[in-house]
Amino acid sequence: MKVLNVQGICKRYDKFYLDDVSFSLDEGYIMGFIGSNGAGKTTTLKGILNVIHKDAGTVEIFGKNIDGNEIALKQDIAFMMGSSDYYPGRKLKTISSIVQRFYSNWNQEAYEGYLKRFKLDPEKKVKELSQGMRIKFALTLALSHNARFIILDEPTSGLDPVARDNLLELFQELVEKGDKSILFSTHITSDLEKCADYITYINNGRIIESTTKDDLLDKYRLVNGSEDDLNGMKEDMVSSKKNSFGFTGLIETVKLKPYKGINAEVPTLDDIMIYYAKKEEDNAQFNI
Amino acid sequence: MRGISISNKSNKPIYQQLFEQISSQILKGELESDFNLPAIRTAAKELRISIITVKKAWEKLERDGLIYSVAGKGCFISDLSNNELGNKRTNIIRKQMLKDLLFYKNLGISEDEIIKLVKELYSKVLSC
Amino acid sequence: MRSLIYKDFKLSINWFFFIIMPFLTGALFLIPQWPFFIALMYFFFITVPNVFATYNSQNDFGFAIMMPVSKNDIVKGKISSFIIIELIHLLTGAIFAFIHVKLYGIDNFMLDLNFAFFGIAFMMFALFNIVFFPIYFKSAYKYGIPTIAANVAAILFAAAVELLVLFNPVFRNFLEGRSPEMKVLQIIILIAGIGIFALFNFIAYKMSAKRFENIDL
Repeated sequence: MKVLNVQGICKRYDKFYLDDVSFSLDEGYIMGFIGSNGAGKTTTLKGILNVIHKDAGTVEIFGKNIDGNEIALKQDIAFMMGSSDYYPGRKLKTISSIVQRFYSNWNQEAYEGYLKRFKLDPEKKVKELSQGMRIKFALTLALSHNARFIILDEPTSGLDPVARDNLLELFQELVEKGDKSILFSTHITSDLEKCADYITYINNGRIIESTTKDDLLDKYRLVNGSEDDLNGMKEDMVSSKKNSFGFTGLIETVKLKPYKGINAEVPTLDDIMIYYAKKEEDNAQFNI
Repeated sequence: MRGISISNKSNKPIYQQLFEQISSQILKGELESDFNLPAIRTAAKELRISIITVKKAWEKLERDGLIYSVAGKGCFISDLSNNELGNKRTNIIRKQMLKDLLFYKNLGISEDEIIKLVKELYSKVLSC
Repeated sequence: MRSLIYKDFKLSINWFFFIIMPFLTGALFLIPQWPFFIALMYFFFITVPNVFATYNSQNDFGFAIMMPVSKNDIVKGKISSFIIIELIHLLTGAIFAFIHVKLYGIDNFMLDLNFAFFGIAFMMFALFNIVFFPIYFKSAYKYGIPTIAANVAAILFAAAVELLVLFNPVFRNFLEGRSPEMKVLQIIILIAGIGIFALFNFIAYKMSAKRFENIDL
């Protein structure tokens, strides 16, 4: 079953255009949503949840259109945008006592479990928490109503490596039974290499790829060689960089075949992002 | 079960690493037949890799007849006779050797040279 | 919706503004010989900018939008809690008005503290709300312009009424006359005020909800 089906979301701002964004996620999996800063990750997530008004497109969650079923669907969705910078002067327990009123399936036991797990003191005020603790509190609130679909915007930013790793472990725990699904955006791609099943990659408001992580990494190769090699290959590559030893570049695996003897490696997600950004830079220069 | 070590840095796809390590444990007889492999989602969580990757590795193991699945109960190590184990092992070695030999051929090494090198290196491996 | 109102009083609005302030402004009713609308207007001058500045600094709408509620409900809840605070002010005002009349008698240099006064006060609040909310919900963030615009409307209205009372004897008789007919008229003005308050709030909500729907928070 598809937990999320996004079709053709468009949103125009003065200097940014979210262009026909479409992708979907099967139930029980973790999808990482990657892209550089300003690529449209947050706008897309907000568009999915009707926080912003989309100019076009449809969003189906659990097979139901969000327009018209928003309130009922949101009971089953956990949603976190950035850290908890709400009500800095209020105690955690006051805020949670309010949040739980909104959810018919609030799970007090789970809530207390997360408080303990994240070492959060409910007697503290939000402003007394560090950035990392605020994110953990926001997560605690988001995860304590038995949501089946969890959408998190940059949940790992501001966390130290140990806390990040713990969080990713928690994500995998959550999907272990197969009834929960997670979509989270990040620009720390090493997070995804550990736990993501699917990757959706957005660049400059457009979806470049949305597929399994294995297939995505399999689809590209990082190649390097001499400058002579480059001359023949340049047209086929996503983009390339010259250095004093020759060049390195990104190419689709299927296009690599004719060039025997070229040193090719599996790229990291970072490599893919970097060379797509480079491509855009090149195009921009070309257009001038 | 012995440990499994997965490297994100390796050029080998992760499912391949997983497949190779488990199949070698099976072929060496380190995993008893009917041993219940962990569920896909649990293995993914414990190894900190994608569910789809584990699924792929388990599927390959099943295709190769090394494990069998029982609906609702998970995957188990196949009950293989020593003869079958030997055959499977030879098959896997054949595949790998074929790949390696192609590589040597591209480097322009003769059969005799290869055999000489194999003998020389194998004696080193044995002494390890 | 009820949860949203509860949230406003528990998290978003400082209790000072719905417990202490109504008593302070109410106490101003004890001043003799005064244009009493000013007492109520301290709500516009002090409470409104403070409460809406706090919404911003606490990221109140950002929180609300994450809850399982519609954008319409967010507007409805916000206006409702505002109305509740206004009613608290009017109610404490009425209590202090009662004490005032007991202490000094009903005669006042400006409009007397009678039923008509509170009818007009309801109209003044109605006017404030219908100007304030539709402008505010264009952004759900900028409260300065709507506060000024709504204040101008409320002040002009209250000043006009007071001036008419001062300089037009017929009008003064309508609002302050002691004959039984006039007293009935004054009660009718109170009821009309409440009616206008309800109607204007409803219109303000409808207009605001439409505008809020198109905002990108």
